[in-house]
Amino acid sequence: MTPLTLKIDRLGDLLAKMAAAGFRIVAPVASAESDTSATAPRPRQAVRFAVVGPQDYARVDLTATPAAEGIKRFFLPQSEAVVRMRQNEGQSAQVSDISPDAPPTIIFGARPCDAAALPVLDRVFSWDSDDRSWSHRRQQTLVITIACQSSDAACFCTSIGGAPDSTAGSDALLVPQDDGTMQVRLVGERGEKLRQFFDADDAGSAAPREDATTGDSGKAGQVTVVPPRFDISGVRSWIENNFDDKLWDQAALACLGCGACTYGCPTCHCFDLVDEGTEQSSLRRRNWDSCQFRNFTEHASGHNPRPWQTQRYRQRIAHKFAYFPERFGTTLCTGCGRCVRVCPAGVSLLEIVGRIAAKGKIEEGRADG
Amino acid sequence: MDNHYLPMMAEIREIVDQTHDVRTLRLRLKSADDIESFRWQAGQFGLFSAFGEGESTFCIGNPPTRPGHIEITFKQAGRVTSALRQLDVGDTIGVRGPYGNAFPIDDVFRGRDVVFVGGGIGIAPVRAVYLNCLDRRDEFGRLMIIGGARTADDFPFLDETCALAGAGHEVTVGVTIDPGRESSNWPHRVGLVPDVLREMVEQASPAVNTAEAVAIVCGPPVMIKFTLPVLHSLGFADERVYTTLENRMKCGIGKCGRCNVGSRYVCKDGPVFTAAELHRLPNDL
Amino acid sequence: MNHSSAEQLQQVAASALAVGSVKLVIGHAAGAAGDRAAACFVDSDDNVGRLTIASPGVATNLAVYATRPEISHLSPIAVVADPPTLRALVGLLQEGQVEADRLRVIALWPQTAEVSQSPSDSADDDAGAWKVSGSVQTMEQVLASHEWVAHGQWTAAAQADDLVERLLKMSDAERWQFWSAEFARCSRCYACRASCPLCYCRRCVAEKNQPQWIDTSATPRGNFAWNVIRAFHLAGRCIDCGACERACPQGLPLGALNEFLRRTVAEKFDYRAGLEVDSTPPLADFRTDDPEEFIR
Repeated sequence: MTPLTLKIDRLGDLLAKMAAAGFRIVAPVASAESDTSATAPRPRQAVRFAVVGPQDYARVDLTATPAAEGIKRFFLPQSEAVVRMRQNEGQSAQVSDISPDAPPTIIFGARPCDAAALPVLDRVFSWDSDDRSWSHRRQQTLVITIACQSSDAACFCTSIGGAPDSTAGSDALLVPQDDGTMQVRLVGERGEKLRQFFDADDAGSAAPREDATTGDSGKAGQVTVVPPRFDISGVRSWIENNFDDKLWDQAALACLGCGACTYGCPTCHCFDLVDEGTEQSSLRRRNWDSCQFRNFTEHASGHNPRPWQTQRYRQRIAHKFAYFPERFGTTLCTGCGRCVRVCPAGVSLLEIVGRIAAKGKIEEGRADG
Repeated sequence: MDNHYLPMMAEIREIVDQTHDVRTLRLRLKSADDIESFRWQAGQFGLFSAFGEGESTFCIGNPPTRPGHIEITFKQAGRVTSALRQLDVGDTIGVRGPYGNAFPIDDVFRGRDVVFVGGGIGIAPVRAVYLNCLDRRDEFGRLMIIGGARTADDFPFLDETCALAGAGHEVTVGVTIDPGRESSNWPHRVGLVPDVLREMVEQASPAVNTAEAVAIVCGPPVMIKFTLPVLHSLGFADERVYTTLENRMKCGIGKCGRCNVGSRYVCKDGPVFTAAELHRLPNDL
Repeated sequence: MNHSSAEQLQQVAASALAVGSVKLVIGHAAGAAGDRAAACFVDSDDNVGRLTIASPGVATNLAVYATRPEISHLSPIAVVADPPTLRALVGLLQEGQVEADRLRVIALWPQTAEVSQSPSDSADDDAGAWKVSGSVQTMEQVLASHEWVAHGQWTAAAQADDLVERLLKMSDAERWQFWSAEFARCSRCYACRASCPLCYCRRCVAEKNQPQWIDTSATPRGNFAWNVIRAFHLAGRCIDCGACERACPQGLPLGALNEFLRRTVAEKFDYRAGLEVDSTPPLADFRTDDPEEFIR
């Protein structure tokens, strides 16, 4: 891959070029939240991905690590109608397909931890059958990520096999350089479609650099360092072998059972199907759902396999770090840390998995010794 | 690419009330293409829509040896089952499926003795299998059916079950209700299912070759909990004892993340599981 | 000796646990992510050192744990309680959701008018902004204290007044537009409900499906219904702790809805929530001499 260059002050031009080529642009923008929320401004919550037009380019904010909300909903909408049902008086019911109709889209300025979730979710959404809506949106959307220049105590991408400059799930990665430019690395065939935007005649953009590098990291530029927080190698087997350990009773006692962690998570994908409307006219909608809700697994009979919050929390960790890896060969987590930052009760998945990792190492040690 | 959440349309052809809260619907898919492509095996399930209310998961109650309709038997429990009960013959419901795995009738059951144990609403899934075997009678050894319910009034398919033995099939049938719930004219057995099972197998003559036989158990969790050890003690191998698990479901195709028991998805790895597999699952039921 | 308030709190907790007057102390500990405190559950000397005093701006209302079934069997519990937490506990006592004899508190009283409400100040309170009670107390003892009289109505919630005033000046159409834009971000995560001590219903109205009172989908209709109905269910019961708004990952200005209803209840019924165990929230009560005809 021959790296290209982008000058950050030409960002508006770049976005305009992409829009002119027919792409809908999604970028992180500082929201006007602090105007309306009565609590003190919370910078980490003020940057969200939104569809942007020319009037918004100046508000594009590439500094939030990571943004309050990721890019998941551009692939798996929060609420999406999938079937329409109609039944007229005296006639029999009719159903009609609602086709997903996402326009060609470029997501600009995603973080590697958000993009890395996409190939992970591809595995479940194409397991035996293809989820049409997911596939369509993946097809229609190109993702340009920016390597992280800063990180915080909740970031743990490097503990899950990721990195602040990983290209997993990206079609192009921008790596900030010391001179204020960004090195552009196109990824694969899909990335090639983006070359047109970085190739230009004027001096400000795309001059291929001489020192071509391969792989994700190359010159460090301004990429932050995320130290490993735990050793994941013993985590899965500890979870598989210790389903009834008292760690589960204690670890997430503070968990209040909301869906903030699951909804903010780039890899959480559990969804609900509901019919809304009347017998005469209704829509079947596919909505985000959370294994943390009490009624997630509740049977109509009233029986609930997971009546306690601690059991529901165990499910979340076990699904991410044991069941999904067993089935699909990869962890259902990218270490973005959003769950840690957003939890109203201060439950930290990072801290809990860290404890499991330590126990996993001890068990491994026992098994070997 | 298909929309997997778009149901096929089916018309209700017949309604049979099994008990005061258990109803059987016989459906016929409306489109000839759907009828042609709907190929299922006993054990598989479908998701059935009451439009405007939602979908419910039911096992397909008729075996593939009795095609031409799709039969579902369900107990009224919540919003969707209540809505389904409001429908009449001629009304339309949605069908998605068939999903899940099936009882390995061809690969495992053939040539063996098979014992079927059904309790309450669990009689419906077991029935799909034993009807399948009765329809192919020559392929199997001894067939024994044990059905139980709390009371005679809670026993789905009671008359049909009692009539099986006399219908010229070679099958031993035991029908039982809970002790203390019998009326004075109840002519059949009284006793809890695990006890009746033990009695019938031990008294069977010629004996049931339990070490090589197959057993199928469906019913309320507490019944299964007490029946599995009895089967084990009678000599059935855990790999040849089958049950069905059920969990709350939405997509039915392994994507919505809801129906797992440990790493197994009831909609993909099940609903049919062996006792051996069950013992390896975590206590997530 | 100049112990920090956190150390004082730890000592009070440790002695109560040691003599066995409580089995569990529920307080705050430093959070994992910098600007949010974590709820922590202390049952012995081993973990009492985690207790800290979190700025209310970064903490959830600990009274929410008093009704969680995973916790309540560990009673008697002692809740580290600032005035909003105490008011929530009053509300729970009013509504019969906790038993007074299984509940204790370690009261925290604000010492200055401007206790920091900034979410960036999650550090331990060394500035002496909080006075820690010298011992674990019953709610009866707390409610009879002079500190309660002085500080019982203190609130940490950043004032929603400004926004309420702005909204009251808007036309109906403008207000509709304002809330439509806000509710468009609601993801129906229910963090607001989960963090509210007065939202203790085992089955929330939003979880009922026969009939489905509130659409579960994050559509304009579903989101309006959810947020407005929740505010109405809290009318006369909300004790103005701000936990819901702090919890909201989407930054919805939920406090404004609650503040407006609080003002309305105060005006119409001369009532403020969470101050007296023996009173009843006006919308949870009727009397035969109520002036409204329709109720007869």
